[in-house]
Amino acid sequence: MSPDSRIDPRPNRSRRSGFPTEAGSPNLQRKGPGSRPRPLRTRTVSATMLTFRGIPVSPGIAIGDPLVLDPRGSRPPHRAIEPARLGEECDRLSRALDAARIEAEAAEAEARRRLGPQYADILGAHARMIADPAVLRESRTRIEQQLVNAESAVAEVLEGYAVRLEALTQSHFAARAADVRDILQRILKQFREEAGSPSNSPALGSDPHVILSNDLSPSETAGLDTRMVLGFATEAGGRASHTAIVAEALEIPAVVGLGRFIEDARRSRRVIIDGDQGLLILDPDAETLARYQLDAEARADRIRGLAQLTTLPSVTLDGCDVELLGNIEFPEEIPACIERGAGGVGLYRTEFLFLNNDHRPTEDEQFAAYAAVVRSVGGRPVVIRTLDLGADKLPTYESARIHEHNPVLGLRSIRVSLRDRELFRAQLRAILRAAALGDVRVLFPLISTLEELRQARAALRSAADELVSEGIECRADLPVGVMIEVPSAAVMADALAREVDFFSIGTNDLTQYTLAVDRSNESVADLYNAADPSVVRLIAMVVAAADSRGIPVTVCGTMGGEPLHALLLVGLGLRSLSMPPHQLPEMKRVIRAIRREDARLLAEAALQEETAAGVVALLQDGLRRAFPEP
Amino acid sequence: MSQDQPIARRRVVILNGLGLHLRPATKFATLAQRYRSEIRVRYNGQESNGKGILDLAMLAAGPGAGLDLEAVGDDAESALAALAALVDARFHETDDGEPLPEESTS
Repeated sequence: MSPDSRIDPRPNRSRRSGFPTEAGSPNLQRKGPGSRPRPLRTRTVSATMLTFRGIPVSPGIAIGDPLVLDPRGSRPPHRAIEPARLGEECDRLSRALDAARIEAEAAEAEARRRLGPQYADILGAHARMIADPAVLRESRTRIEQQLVNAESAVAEVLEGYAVRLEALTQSHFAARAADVRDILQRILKQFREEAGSPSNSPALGSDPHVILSNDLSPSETAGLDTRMVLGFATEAGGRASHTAIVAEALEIPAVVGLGRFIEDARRSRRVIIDGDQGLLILDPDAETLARYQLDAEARADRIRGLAQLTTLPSVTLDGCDVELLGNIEFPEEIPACIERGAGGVGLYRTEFLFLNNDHRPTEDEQFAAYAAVVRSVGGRPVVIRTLDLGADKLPTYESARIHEHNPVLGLRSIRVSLRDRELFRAQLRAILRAAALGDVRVLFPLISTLEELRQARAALRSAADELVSEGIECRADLPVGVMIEVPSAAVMADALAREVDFFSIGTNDLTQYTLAVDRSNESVADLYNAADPSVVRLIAMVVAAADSRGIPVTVCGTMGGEPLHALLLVGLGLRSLSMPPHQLPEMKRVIRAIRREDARLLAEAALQEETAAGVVALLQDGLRRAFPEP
Repeated sequence: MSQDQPIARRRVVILNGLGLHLRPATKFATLAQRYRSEIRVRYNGQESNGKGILDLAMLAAGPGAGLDLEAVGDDAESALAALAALVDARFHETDDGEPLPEESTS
């Protein structure tokens, strides 16, 4: 979007642009040999520009060739089976059909409650199509006669129906082909879930593309070679979707929740993803394309400018050091942290190890991942957080099958670890072993009571005792910290501070639980504001508790990486902020432009405010004074 | 089905505006499944299992289409009576496919 349409109060955004400028753009050049083609060329290819609006989840501009990754267009792998396994294969078929029918019936009931009969009837028809005896019979016949796997048998049967429907002349019959493909996907999903993880990592080829999909499962997303991904756009998904998490972590522009666009996108030759405004533009016209190219180049310039800050210290104008750390999910993100001058890893999320696997990661597999991170940070500290699987993030994890009315208040995070002792023990052993290789600290998430902390510490001690008695190298006395992200923990911070070595404030959950707002729920997301005075006061309490015991405290939530909040956090006494690596240069620029004393006065004023709007106005004013340019 | 099973036959004409599309086919098959009899539907030289939604939808029977229904089984007559009533009632939907309040169909 043109810069004048931005209302972002932040001075600049150090975000990767999806538009590689170093050697021109290989993506734009692929269309024409030799030098960069004039944008007008695209007009001769016909297509009309189409714009879709969705939820922006990772900022930046991506311009490139689209690659539609849509299971609706692809077939499951065709595999020959042994005659001896016929019975087993037919059983798998029946189980998948049953599970798909049950799922469709549940969707029907849900739709009837929330959306009314029209939509529910369609889902009900899906459930009964799945139950159509012809599907089972014809798929079985195929398995038995052709000795193929159940997935490909059912896919061929249903695809046959879809093709025949498409051939019908009346449009409303032909449109039913989409329903048949829809139920096929529901059935294929059951096979993947039974197997624990989808094994269909899509092949991207050797050129970077903009990835377009209905939705991406965690394994699909994680299986992508992200160097070949310029941006993501999905029809489904929200802020908490896997695409959102991965895209943000890898600094790839992404927009989700766009609604149906795949059919239009199949014919597109070039697309733009605007991760700031939440737009997907198919076949942009010459003017739009030129505007975005300019914007992308300007971003690249800005990023180069910020890169020069890397070697400068992170210190305020009046000499107060503020440590800047990186949040990571994958060992591959370490170089991005170090290149941008991170003092270490303030938060290493371990969930992806658990999401990517079709089995629980073993102690050795976890150790290998943790060791890779510890070895690549060059002696800097690494805070490893134990499993923090929220209900919203664990579709392939077995406990996802547990139905919870209120998952964010349910069995998640440390509660899972304390309940599932084998899982916890393996992770703690892996962390303790990795701690022998460098400066490792362990962080327990979602602690809401002293008892939970004590149980977690006891588990850590017994894991360490085991390792010592087995003669396995580890560091038994590694520093232990807790996430302060539940209001009860913030209130009890003085007591918690006596039993831990450090605090890490998770502002996302702290805000969510304090305000009782799920920010991934679009209908209430506007009520979520990390600058709410209640949250500000809780943070102040936590910092005071940490200071009185002399233990360090870091902010590792989204707030920690936002320039708007930098003044407030420094003013509240925070001297350590952890954030996604791409935010490091921008935050350093802000830190180097503010004064501790101004920040302190601003925080004092914020603590007197009565509304989030009041706090935000103060912060915007403070930021404007630190960066007087427009 | 053995030869001595009762057989019922009946011709019905599709009256609703959109024909035997997804929702009507669903209603037809769901109703047919309540009967023990085997139910066949013939139209335009094709034959479908009356209890299978996919099969029925494949017939692409539009408005005005005449379907030959055949039921074989001990409840053949009552099955066809109920199915014919459903078709005659235009599957309880308007000509635009909007659902109408539904009376009992069996």
